[in-house]
Amino acid sequence: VHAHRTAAPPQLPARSRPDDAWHPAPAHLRAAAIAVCMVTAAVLLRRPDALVVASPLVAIAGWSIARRPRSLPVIDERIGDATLREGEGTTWHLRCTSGEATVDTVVVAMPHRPWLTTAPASAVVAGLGVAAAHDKGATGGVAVELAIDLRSTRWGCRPLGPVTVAAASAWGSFRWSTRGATLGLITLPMPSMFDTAAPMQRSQGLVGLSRSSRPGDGTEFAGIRAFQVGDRLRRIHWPRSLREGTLHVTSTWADQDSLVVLIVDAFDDVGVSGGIDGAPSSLDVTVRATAAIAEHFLARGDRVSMRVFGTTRVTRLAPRTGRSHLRRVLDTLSMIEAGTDRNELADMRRLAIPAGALAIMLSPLVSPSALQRAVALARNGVDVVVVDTLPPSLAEDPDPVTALAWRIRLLERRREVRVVQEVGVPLVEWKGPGSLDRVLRDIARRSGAPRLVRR
Amino acid sequence: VNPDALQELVDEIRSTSRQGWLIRLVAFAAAMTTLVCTERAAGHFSDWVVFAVIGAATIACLRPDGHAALVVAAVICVRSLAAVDDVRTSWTVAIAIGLLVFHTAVALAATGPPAVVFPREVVARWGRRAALVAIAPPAVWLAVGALDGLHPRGNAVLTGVAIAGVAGAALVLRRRSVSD
Repeated sequence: VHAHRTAAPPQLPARSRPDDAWHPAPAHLRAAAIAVCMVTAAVLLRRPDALVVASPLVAIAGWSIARRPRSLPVIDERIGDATLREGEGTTWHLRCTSGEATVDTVVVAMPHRPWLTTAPASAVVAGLGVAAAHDKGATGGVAVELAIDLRSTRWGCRPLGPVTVAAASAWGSFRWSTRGATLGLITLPMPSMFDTAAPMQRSQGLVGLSRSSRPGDGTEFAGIRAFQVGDRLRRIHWPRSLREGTLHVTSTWADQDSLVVLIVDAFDDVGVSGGIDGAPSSLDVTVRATAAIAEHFLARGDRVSMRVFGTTRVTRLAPRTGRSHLRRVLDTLSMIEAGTDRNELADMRRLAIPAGALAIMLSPLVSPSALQRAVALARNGVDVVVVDTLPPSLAEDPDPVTALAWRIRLLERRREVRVVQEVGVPLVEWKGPGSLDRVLRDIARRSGAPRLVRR
Repeated sequence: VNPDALQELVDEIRSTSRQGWLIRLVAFAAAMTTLVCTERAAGHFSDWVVFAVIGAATIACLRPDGHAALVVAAVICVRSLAAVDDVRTSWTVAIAIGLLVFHTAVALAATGPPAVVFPREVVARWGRRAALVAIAPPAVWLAVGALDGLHPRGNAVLTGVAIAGVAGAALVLRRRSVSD
C-alpha cells in the first residue's frame, strides 16, 4: 500500500543567476575575440581577406558595446487573483522597465508547480523591449510586459515563483538576471455535491432552523394548549377557544441551531491526486466532502466548527455561522499539509467537543487511530458519524503485489470498522448527496432516548 | 560523466521548443555552409577541420550558452587564414555571412532557456539587424578588391598606426565589455 505525499520539489528551468549588474554573455566574447584576432591578423599578416571574414563580428562587437545597458531594469510582478477555486484560472503579470532604451529582450521562466497548469505549458515567455509610455513611469526607456496564464487544479496553499527574469541587450551580448518574489496562491477546495433531508438532532443554540427539544417561540407546530400568562395574543387559537369556552393558544417548538463539528483526518493522503480533472486522492475526497458538508449546514443556519488532525498549520476553527464562516472553513482546508503533524496523543487532548454537538469525522481510515478517536468520542456521549473517504478506485492496482497488500489492508480495515460499529458509531461511505441521510435520521431519533456515557 | 549534468542536458533537449530546434537547425546549417565555403576556398578538405567544426557546432547547438560556438568560429577563421591564399576570393563573403548567421542564431538561442518561444517581433528584429550587418562583408570585400588593385607598397608608419589603432580598439572593447 503506497501513501503519496503531494509535495513536489520546485524546479527552476532557467540557468541565469540573480545579479545586480549587466554581464557580458558568451556571444559578446565570441564576437569581440574573433574581431580583435582577425583584425590583428589582417594588419600583421597583410591579409585583407581576414577583414572581410571578420567584418560582421566587428560590426556586432561595436554595436554591442555602443548599446551596452548601464542602469538595471526594475521588475514589477503581480497576480490577477491570489485566491482561486479548484479549476479556476488567473493571470500572472510582469512588467520590466528600464530607464535606457537598450534592453532588447526579456525572458521569464516560472518554476513548475504541481497542480498548476500554465499557458504556455513551458511557463517560459519572452518579450521585446518597446518604448515605454510616459504615463507608466519609464520615460525615455523601454518596457516589457509579459503574462502567464495559470490554472490551479487542486486545493492548497502553494507558492508561486520565484520567477527567473533575464534581460538581454542587442545581439544578446550583455545579460542581466534576477529572481522575482515568491507570491502566494491559495486554491480553495471545490465542495462536492451534498444535501441531506434528514432532521438534525437535539440542539443547544438559540437561533437556527432546527427544531429544539423544548417548546418555545418558533415555527414548528407542537400542539394546542390552554392559555398561560405571557402567551402572545397572536398565538390564540380562536376556533378551539370558542368551542371550549376558554382561551387556547397554538404552541410551537423553539427554533434553534445545531453545532456541527467537522473532524478532518489529514494524517495520510493515500493515492495520487489528479487534481479537479483527474482521480482524487483520499485527502481530496476528505477536503471536498468537508467543504460540502460545511456549506450545507452553514446554509441552513447551523454553527460549524472544525478540527484538523495531522497538519501543523491551522488545526482548529471556532464554531460560527454564516457565509463568511464558509470562507474560513475553505481557507483552513486549503492550508492542510498531510502528515506534517504526527502527534496523535496531543490530538486526542484537543478533542473537547461540547455535549449536544454532532461530530462528523471524515477519514480514509487507513490508520486505526481515527476509529479509536471516534470510539472515544462516542463513549463520552458525543454523537459521532464517521465518513469513509477512501476512494474505491485506489485498491485497484495493476501491480499484483500492491493489489494483494491493498486487499489485506482492506480486510483488516473491515474488521476494525465492524468493531467500531458494534460500539455504536455509524460509518458511512462518502457518496455525495444523501450520504448522511440515514445516520442523521437515526441520530435524531435516538437523541431523545437516555444513554449510558462515561464521565 | 557527471550524471546530473547529463540529466540536465537531456532535460534541456526534451524541453526545447519547436522554434528552438529551428533556430538550432539554422545555426548548424550556417556552420556547415561556412565550413564548405572555407574548404572550397582552400581547395581541399581537411579531415580535422571538418570533424572539429561538426563536433563543436553540434555542441554549440545543444548548449548555445557555452563557448563551443567560439571554437567553431575560431577554427573557420584559422582555416581561412592558413589555407586560403587568394585574398580577393569571393568565398570570403560567403564565409563571413555564414559566420554572421551562425553567430546570430546561437546568440538568439542562448538568450532564453530551450523551452522559450520568441514572439515574432523578437525574431523579426534580430533578422533585420542581421540583414543590416550582412551588408558589411560585401562592402569590405569591394573595398579590399579596390585597394588590392592599386598594388600599394608597404608603409611602416601606416602599419604602426594600424597596430596602435587595433590595440586601442581592443582596450576600449575590453574596458567596455567587462562587468561593472
